[in-house]
Amino acid sequence: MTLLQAHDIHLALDGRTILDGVSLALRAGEVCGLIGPNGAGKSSLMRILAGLRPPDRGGVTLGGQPLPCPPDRASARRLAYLAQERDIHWPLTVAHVVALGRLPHQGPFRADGDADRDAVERAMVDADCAHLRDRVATTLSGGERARVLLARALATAPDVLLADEPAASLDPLHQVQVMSLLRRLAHGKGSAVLAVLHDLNAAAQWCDRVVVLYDGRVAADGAAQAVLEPGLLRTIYGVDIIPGSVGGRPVFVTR
Amino acid sequence: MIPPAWIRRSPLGHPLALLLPLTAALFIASLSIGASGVSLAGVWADWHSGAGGMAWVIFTEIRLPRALLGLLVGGALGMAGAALQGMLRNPLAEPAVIGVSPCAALGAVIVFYSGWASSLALAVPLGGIAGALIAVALLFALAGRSVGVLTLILAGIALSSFAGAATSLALSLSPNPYALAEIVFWMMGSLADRTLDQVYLAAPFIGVGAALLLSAGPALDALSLGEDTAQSLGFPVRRVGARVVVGTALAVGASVAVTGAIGFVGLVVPHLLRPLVGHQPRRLLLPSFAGGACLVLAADTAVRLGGPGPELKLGVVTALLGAPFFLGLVLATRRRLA
Repeated sequence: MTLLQAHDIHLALDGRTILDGVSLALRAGEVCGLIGPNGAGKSSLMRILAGLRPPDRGGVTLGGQPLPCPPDRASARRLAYLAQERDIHWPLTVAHVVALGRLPHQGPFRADGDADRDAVERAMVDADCAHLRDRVATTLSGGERARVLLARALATAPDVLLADEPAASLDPLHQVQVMSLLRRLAHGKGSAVLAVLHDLNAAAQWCDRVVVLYDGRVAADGAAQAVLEPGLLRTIYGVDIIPGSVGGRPVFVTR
Repeated sequence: MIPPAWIRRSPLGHPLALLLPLTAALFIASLSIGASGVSLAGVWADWHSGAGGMAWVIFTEIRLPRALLGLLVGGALGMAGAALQGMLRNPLAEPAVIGVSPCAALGAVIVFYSGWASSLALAVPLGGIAGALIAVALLFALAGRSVGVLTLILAGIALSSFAGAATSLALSLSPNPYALAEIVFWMMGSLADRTLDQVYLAAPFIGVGAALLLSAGPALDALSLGEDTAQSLGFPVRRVGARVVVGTALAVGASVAVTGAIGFVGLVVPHLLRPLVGHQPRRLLLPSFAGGACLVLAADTAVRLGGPGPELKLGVVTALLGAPFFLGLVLATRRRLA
């Protein structure tokens, strides 16, 4: 079942073409990796998919309905966006930060209900930050902060999660934790997950499907093993990347 | 910094539980203290007898407007400061940064200058409110489609400097030294010699402004995680910005129009109370209203205790107390960054 669909997205900034006819469908129960070189338009595409910026041409539908830009409350309940910047502007506690994910479910003057508290609790346990609940979020390490902000997105209980570099600057353990969490969200709860990744090994290991964005276009879309072949990698990254296999798992090494 | 455990655990955990009784006490103190020495018991006796004696007149004509304005104006300044700091995600923001108070002051000064002030009792506050509303219109025109933080602050600074310069121009061209003195004293900010009519004029604006600011509360919480995340949570940043700016213009514009400029309340109060609400922008709004009311009522009562001779101006007192606090804030920030 297609949850989020982008159709023929075009975007130009200052006369420079960023996205040139991108179409993409995110299906329920699937972790999709979005890869491509720096400046390929990945973050712009993510922001358009999240309804944070309008495309010049083309449209995005969420569950068959056009996604408003900026998103309304009903869309915000179904679609969560995890920004690349891990900004937390006030020294809030971890529990308060995670609870912000429940805002689309609440009215302007309604306090937290039981459903909200349960969702926050579950999200903190899932993202392995329940033990941090009373810590001040601005004093956390980079990895802890990434997990707390992921818990914030999970607390919304979204159908679609758009995560812009969720694994960036994480050590191997935390990278594995975050990626396996995204996978549980898709496979266990039937959500659709789109994650921008730079680590080809992680993309091959954790994603059901990989979309390669290059020069504003979708250069490839399919299973990691099929898509990540040397010719394409050489074209998009400009270096030789050799696919290999260790213990039955694909690995990618630069020459 | 999270609130100390004793605050979180105590039944008085919410700062309003402390601030509301304090506000009530200061309000009553403001009603009972004054140059005439009239006591609340005397007022009560007067009212009971139905005669409308001297005590009752002093109470309704002098004390009551003063106390009500202290409550409303202090509250408006405190809450607007909290909302602006939340929206701009900057603890140094206050109502003056978006240029609303200088423009309200300019509007009032133009009315003084033109001489309408003597023909219509409410001309000065009306001029101030008009100035504040024009400021908002200009702010949106200058900041354009994106009510981004930086454009908003820059436009506000430009407006503030322009309004300040225009005010100085009006003062330097003033043909009448008495009018000049009157304008200068008015600009220093005071609650003295205001009437209930002025309270009735300002109260609806402050009420609507405060309601707008309160309704932006959840969005301010969401903005703690940045503009993109706030938008993705269903809070359009442009609309939130417009709500906070218009709310501030109504509440603070009407306050400045009636009382003149009372500085630093909007800066100091949210900053003092923020740790008590766990730094949550939404939970800071109501306590900041109560805290601002407390500060202005206390300062205004202290001004009256100053003894014989001309009263100190309220705006001077709050600025004298506020400026060192602001310096301390700067030093603390510097230490944290060092």
